[in-house]
Amino acid sequence: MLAYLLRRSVWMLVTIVLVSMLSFILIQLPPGDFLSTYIAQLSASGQQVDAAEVAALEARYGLDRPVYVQYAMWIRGIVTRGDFGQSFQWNRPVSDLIWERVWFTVILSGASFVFSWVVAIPIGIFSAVRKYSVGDYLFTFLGFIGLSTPNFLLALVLMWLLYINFGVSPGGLFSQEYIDAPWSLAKVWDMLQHLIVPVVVIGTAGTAGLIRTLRARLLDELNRPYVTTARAKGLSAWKLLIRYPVRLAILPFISTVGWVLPQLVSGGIIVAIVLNLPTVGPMLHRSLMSQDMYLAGSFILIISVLTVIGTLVSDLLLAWLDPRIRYE
Amino acid sequence: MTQPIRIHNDPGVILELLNLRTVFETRGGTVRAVNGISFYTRNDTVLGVVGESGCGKTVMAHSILRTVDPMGGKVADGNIFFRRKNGEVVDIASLPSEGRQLRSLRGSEISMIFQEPMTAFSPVYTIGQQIMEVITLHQKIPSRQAKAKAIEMLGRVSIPKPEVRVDAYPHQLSGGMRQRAMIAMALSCQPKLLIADEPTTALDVTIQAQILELMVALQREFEMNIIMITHDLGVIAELATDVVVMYLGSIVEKAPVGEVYSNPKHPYTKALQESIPRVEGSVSKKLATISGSVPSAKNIPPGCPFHPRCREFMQGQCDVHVPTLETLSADHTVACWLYGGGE
Repeated sequence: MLAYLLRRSVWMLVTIVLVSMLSFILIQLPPGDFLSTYIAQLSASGQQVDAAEVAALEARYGLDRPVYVQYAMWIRGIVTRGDFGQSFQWNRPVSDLIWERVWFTVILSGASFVFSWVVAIPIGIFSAVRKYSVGDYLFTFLGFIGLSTPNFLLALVLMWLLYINFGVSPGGLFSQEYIDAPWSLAKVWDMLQHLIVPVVVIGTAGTAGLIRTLRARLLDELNRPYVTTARAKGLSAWKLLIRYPVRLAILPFISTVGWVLPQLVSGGIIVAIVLNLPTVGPMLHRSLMSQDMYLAGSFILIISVLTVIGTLVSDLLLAWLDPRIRYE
Repeated sequence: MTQPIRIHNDPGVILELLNLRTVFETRGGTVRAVNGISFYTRNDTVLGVVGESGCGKTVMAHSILRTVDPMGGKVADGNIFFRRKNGEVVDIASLPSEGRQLRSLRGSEISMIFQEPMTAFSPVYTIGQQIMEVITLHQKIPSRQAKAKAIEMLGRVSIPKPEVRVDAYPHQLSGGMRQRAMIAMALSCQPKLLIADEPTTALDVTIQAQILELMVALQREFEMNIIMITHDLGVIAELATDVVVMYLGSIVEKAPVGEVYSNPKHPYTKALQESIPRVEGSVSKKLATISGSVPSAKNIPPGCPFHPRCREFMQGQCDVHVPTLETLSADHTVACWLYGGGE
């Protein structure tokens, strides 16, 4: 087990290095860099650009060096000083900008994940056990509606409903008065209230698929001989259901735990923009548009680290829950 | 015609089925899987139930435990009288589906083992956990004691190193070992009746013999009754004291095992006898088969269900009137017009 963990960790490191290299190169692939965009903007507005000043800026950010040197400098900064570089656009250190957003993203994706499981698992079980009942058809119908409604539309509708009925404007993660306030219980409570809409919106997207998959998996398991064996022991219907078929039907979902984060970052951008959420998505989007390479690279690096860790956790979880899987 | 209910008068009878009917409602119509069968089984016997695939023997077994209900089946008619450990006689057919009283019988007084030892255990729990579950469910004992009991049971079914195997997962055991573990689990609460549904079919021949021997030994040791369901007449010969021959959801013949082999009465039983491959005798002789195939249980032929395949079919009688079980001698009954049944 320990050897397995060690080997996995080495491969995780390799994966992260490769991802960071690739993303760094990809960000730089489009012609020009942040400075040329910046100079073009200045010239367009009629300002003079001093060649010496440009050279100084280039030297300061290392933009006159080859890509691999830039990459090496950036990584060395992270490893030795925890310095993720400078954001051109914000003119602030990247580490000042990202951590809060990364945590909000983790909180939001975690909450959405829990939400979709809490909703989907009981419905999936119900739909399988009461196959072709009115309830099954109703949930199937709702599920398909949920699946086919674009997330951002659902976000807009929910915001509108909340505003009309409760007078709250659920954009962002905090009310005005708390945005810059220090952390307190009241601020957490405020955040939880604001979390509801994004969690429901982001969570619903996965719920329908989860229900359908669980239903199909459980229908397979319900007729397995081991279920009859367990029933012949005298277990009550409920205990039997949870301990035997559901316990097995749930296994494939465990392996998806690690995918939650990248899904939210890449899939939730539009929702985050519509709902004005301070998550990674919108900032990453903007930094890519403006070739703010250290900011974009840092986001991608941190997200891939979290994803790789998430995958490891889900693999370990699966090994723990399914004794047929063993790592040598 | 009313049949005598023996179980109330004879304390030696532990299970009596009366006119049991089990049906499955499907889109294609009603499947009458068990179509009115009656028999009883006495203490310390092994009752063999034989018949081709689809004759309703497995459904009959699941009807006794009422595990047929969640499979979509329904005990539509008849009684399943069972004498509990405390002497009380219950009609299992009338108990509420999946109710408390029914569950208190399952695993504790009536156990069942199945054909597929590969899939009959859940792959995610150890053998020990699955055996302990049935023990703690029916006996209020702490789990440490239940584990000791599980190890003891594994030893009783001759599993080597039971104290190690108790923590093994099913996939770590061979098929034969798994079937032994299944037997250990079934017997862990000392049931009075063990229903074995083709327990050796999925195993290879040498393991089959070992498992059958084990079952005979345990039957004596635990003083229980076994209902052995099989399509293999060889298994019956080895194990059973009495035999019930089923065809299309009905019992065609019931007799002590010696009678069935030496003096079969029903044309179907005779035909089954002749279709057993024999070691002695001429090799070139073609093995006898029964002509035709088993009709669908959705469409049971009128009259005697066996008449379309019967060599001694009597026009106007067998295809019109249903024969009832006729008593030939004390323990030998047959449902066939050749023996004048039905009046």
